[in-house]
Amino acid sequence: MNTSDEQLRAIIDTIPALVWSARPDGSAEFFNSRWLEYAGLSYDEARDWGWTKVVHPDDLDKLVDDYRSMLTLDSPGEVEARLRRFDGEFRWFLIRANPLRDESGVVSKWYGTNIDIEDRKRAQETARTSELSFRRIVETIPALVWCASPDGELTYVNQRILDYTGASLGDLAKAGWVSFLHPDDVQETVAMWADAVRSGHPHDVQYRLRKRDGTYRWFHVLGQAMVDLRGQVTQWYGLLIDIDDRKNIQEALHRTETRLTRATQVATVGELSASIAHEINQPLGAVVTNAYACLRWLSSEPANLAKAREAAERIVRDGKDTVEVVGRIRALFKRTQVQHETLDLNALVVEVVRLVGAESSRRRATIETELEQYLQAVRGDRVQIQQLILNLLMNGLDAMDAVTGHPRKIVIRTQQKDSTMALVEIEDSGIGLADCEKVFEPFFTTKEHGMGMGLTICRSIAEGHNGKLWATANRVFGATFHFTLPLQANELTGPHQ
Amino acid sequence: MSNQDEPIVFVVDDDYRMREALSGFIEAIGFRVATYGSSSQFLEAERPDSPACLILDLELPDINGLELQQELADRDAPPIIFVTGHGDIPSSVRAMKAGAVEFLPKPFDERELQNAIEKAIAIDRLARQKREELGHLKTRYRLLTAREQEVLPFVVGGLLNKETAAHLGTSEITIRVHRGQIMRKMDARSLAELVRMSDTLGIKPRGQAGS
Repeated sequence: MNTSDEQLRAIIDTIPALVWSARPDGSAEFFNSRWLEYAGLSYDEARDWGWTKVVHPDDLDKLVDDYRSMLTLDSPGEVEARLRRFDGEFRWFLIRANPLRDESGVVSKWYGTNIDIEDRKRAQETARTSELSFRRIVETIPALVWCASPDGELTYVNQRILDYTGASLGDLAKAGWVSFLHPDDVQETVAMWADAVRSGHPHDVQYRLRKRDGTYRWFHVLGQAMVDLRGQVTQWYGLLIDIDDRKNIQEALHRTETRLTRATQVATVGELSASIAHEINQPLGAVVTNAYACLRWLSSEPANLAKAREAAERIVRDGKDTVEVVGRIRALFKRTQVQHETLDLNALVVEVVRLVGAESSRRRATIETELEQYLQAVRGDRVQIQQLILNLLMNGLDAMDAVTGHPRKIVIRTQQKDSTMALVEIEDSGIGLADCEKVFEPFFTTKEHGMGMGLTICRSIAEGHNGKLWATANRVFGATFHFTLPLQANELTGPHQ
Repeated sequence: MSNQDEPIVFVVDDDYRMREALSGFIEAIGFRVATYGSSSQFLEAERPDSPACLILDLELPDINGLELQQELADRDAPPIIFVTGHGDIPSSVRAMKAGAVEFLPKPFDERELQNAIEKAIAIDRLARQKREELGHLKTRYRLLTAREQEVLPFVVGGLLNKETAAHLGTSEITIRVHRGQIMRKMDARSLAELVRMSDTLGIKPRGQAGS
């Protein structure tokens, strides 16, 4: 062998591949040493068709077929097959064959390389299995799963969503899903999704989604953006969780609470009936008395029309007053949807104190107000907050019924607690509290006829407004109830005396 | 009728609508009227000395109706008609026991109100008459000498002049003179009338068995 032959042999034995050559009929005539070392065969064992014994039996047929068609067509080709290593382990190889042609174009030899693709193959396999199992998870978990593109277009939904809606991916894709929302939920949901897509912040919304039978169920919908290294959203992943049953229970609870609040209102109406009667009878009494006077002036001889007219004018004025009083009392106890609006807390306090006024003087008690002159408006439900103030005042009056030896006095004050909250304090000189927390527990009562729900409901009203209600003992007599309500930013209500 | 005798109705109510309405009505049934917004205003005001009655709201801000009634009890005050926005039975019982003429729930019946006013004023007239009579009697009584005032209880006690003289250690004739003076100064036409006057003045008869 000359030097260049040796060099060539060295190269062929060193390159990281199994190299072989074959005659035009396909029988092998050369293997590099890597080939022989891999298979653990001697040249004689491998030559001609001996190499086929290292091919995995399951791959042999395909390999032979493919090899034959290459030979027949004289065209290069490749095939994947498992080859047995010297130690008995099969590894995947990519086997490539190229024909060498002589001057006349006839194939004189085949050259081939086998490249170990076991690791790549295994990675592919793993990826495929994990993809499969991921898909299996996504399709089997008891939730509705979706994906959307970075610009917010729905790209994938799992089978459960298709089963639930009875729609195809085509119906739902892009923005098609919107037409499956409850009409009342469309606007908010679309706006919130647009927000999430714009900001990349997690999407969190509740809406009703139409089922294939046309009914709607409540879902809690969560979406999370997947972000790449540069912080760009690459994909949105999301879940729909069926919360319909939970929602129904919540609503039932809420209805019960509303009814309970209503029952307490009715109980308060009962307690306040004397006060209410007084409020109404006062202007009504004036109306009736004026009417008598008017008739007397008309029937006197001669009729005194000027005096009769004065009386009639007073009737009109006081009649309107009566209507206004009745309206105010009705507004305090009527059952309405909770409605949050901007409220002048001082005005509410004054109105409730006025209503309770006659009741407190009947019980030989006084109510004083100390109102913050420039108090920012609060946000809340008028009826509920009046109810809250009313309940606390009535509670204070009840606590003072047994008091003798010092004045029965309630001071109600309003304050701006800080930049976000208003504070109302109702300080009584009653018998005080044994336990400042226990009084808020349901069915806790020290009163003979009390249901023990008054303060519990008061607290739920305060908390329903994102405020707090708590009680403290006074230094000498009685207790003070404090509650806070969030301020409506940047709105002042007028000064109060 | 002189202004002095013309009756007047006082109204104490904290509600201006009620004051105006009552004022109009009372005027229409032919009485003078004066209104006050609180008990203290009523107490501080200078009131005409005429037959009167007081229409008093039970619920008042400073001194309430029942308290004012107590305050006025020893002061020859006019009879009281209570009015109230809520028919509160315990309060009405207390008011009536303390001598209120009437207790009317608002809104009132005009007949009841008018009757109550007329009745109260009639009561006041009678009371004023009695007070006046007592005043006259007291004036006359003060005309008696000390000795005559000493003799008077024995006279109205039904003792004979001789018996009275024995009690006081003087003569029958002296007693007869005193007795004549007493009858004349007291303007009594009979012994029976003198007995009634002494009773009104609170003078206890003497000299009867056991006294």
